[in-house]
Amino acid sequence: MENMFIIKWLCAFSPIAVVLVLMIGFKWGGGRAGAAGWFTALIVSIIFFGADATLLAYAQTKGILLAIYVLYIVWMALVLYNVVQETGAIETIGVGIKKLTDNRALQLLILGWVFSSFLQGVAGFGVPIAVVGPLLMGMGFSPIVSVAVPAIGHSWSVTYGDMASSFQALIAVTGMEGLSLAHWSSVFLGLTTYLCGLAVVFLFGGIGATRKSLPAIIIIGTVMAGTQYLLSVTGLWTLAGFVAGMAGILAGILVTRMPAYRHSGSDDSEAAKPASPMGIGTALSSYIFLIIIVTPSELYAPLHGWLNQVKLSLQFPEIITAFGWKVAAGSGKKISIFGHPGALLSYTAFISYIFYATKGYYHAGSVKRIWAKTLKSGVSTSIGIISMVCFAMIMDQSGMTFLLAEGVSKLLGPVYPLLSSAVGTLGAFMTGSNTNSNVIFGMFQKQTAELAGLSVVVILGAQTTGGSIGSMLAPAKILVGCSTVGLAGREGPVLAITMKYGAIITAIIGLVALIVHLF
Amino acid sequence: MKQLLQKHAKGLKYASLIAMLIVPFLLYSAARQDISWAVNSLLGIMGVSMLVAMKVG
Repeated sequence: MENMFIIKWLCAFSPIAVVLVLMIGFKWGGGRAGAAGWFTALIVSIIFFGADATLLAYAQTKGILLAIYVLYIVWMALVLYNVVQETGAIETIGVGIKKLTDNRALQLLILGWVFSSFLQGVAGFGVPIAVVGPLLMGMGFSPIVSVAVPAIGHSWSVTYGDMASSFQALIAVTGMEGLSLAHWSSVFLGLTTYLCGLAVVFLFGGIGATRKSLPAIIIIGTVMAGTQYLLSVTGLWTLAGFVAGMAGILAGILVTRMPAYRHSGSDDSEAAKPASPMGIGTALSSYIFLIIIVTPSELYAPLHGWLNQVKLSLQFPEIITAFGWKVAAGSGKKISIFGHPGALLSYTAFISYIFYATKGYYHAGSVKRIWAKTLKSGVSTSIGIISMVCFAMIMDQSGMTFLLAEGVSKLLGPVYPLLSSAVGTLGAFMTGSNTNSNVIFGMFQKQTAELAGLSVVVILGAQTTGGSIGSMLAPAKILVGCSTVGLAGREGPVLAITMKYGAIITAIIGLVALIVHLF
Repeated sequence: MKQLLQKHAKGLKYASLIAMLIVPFLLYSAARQDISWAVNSLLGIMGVSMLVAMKVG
């Protein structure tokens, strides 16, 4: 019986193993590896988990709804980026940041850690990597650093980002009170804030740069983590991510005034360059428009309600596999056509285009070039995301994902808290979403905690933190980032980096969860 | 075969993407109406799209 469980567990893990081996070992792109994972999941689910054609059909539909939810952001972020990039604004922003400080590590922290977290707070899924990646590229960072840094830097802010949608999913699925979950979720996420800042600098400049940046990381990290904690434990978790990001931006600007980080003027190459014809304010216009459009759309209830009236929604019946695994009836991912973050990005792109066009920053044929560049990156990325999400749904709907988590908890028994965050990370890795991870594993983690006599709120805090960290290593999100910096089809090296740091941070959170239980 | 795939790689990629976007909704409709042959055929088309993605994605 035990051997059968182990065999089934290994079979359940095989699609993930196939994707990892192909992407990291053989340097396959996400589209090709995802498709291979899809075939593996299909075969395993039919042979070992009793999936039939009907279950697979519904799994594909649920998967495409999730994928479209993500792709709406991807395509519109690509359009926005190309609208801005066509004007030369990206290069101007890079010069502007360099003038705030010429400390390269601090530049990375401000954009890759703080600004990306703010974007996660206001816009949610995928947007930070898609928007900040090109900005860092424009400042001369390598493509791999440009994607890995915002992927790592923003991951602490995912749970409370986008109006705390992931946190609200955890409340909904577990039936727990938000105020009871807020403390430990915010404590673990607060610790993750500092770890993400440290990881960002260490990745770029090793121990030397990290030592020099420590005061900045402590100051900015304390402001962001503290703001998030205070807002969440007082019941204002919907604002926690966004306001923490704003506070971080202000703290970041103040830190650049510190003697250790102030612009030294030693970079003669920048001083020798002729002044850009575009001012920094004009260059940042698109992102200011983004804040102006997103903030009231998310925070002003009447506008939010008005924009989110029209939704694509499908209902699914209950499905039972040949081995008795039941999938409850319910609706698939709802997609708000006019209020979705992708829609808000499209309004920003449209307004930005009009703004730059009236100021004469475009040359003939700009629309054709913008569209061609968008298509070039968007198609490969879309294939990757669809194949990944569809195979994740096959695994979820046939019971494979649940079995994986069950195996992990069986192995560990009383030291289960050590891997409670890893379960959350697994869910986010599989689906590309902290929200989905909380939906899939929230109830499982709660029941495991209750059966083992563990603290439910600590375990669930570790779950959502793991799911948040998982955003940095979800292949779907890495695909998003790589598509905007010209790395489409070469996501393997980025994934290898984010997996390393993600695993370390997840392990630290798990260790803290265990220590909390022991003492 | 390999040359054919390389020659038409861009078009095949676009076709694969369009199929991946549309077929799941057709699958939903077929499954809701319990039309088994349609479900199996559409899953086959989804599989072909994934195969194309593995080759040219």
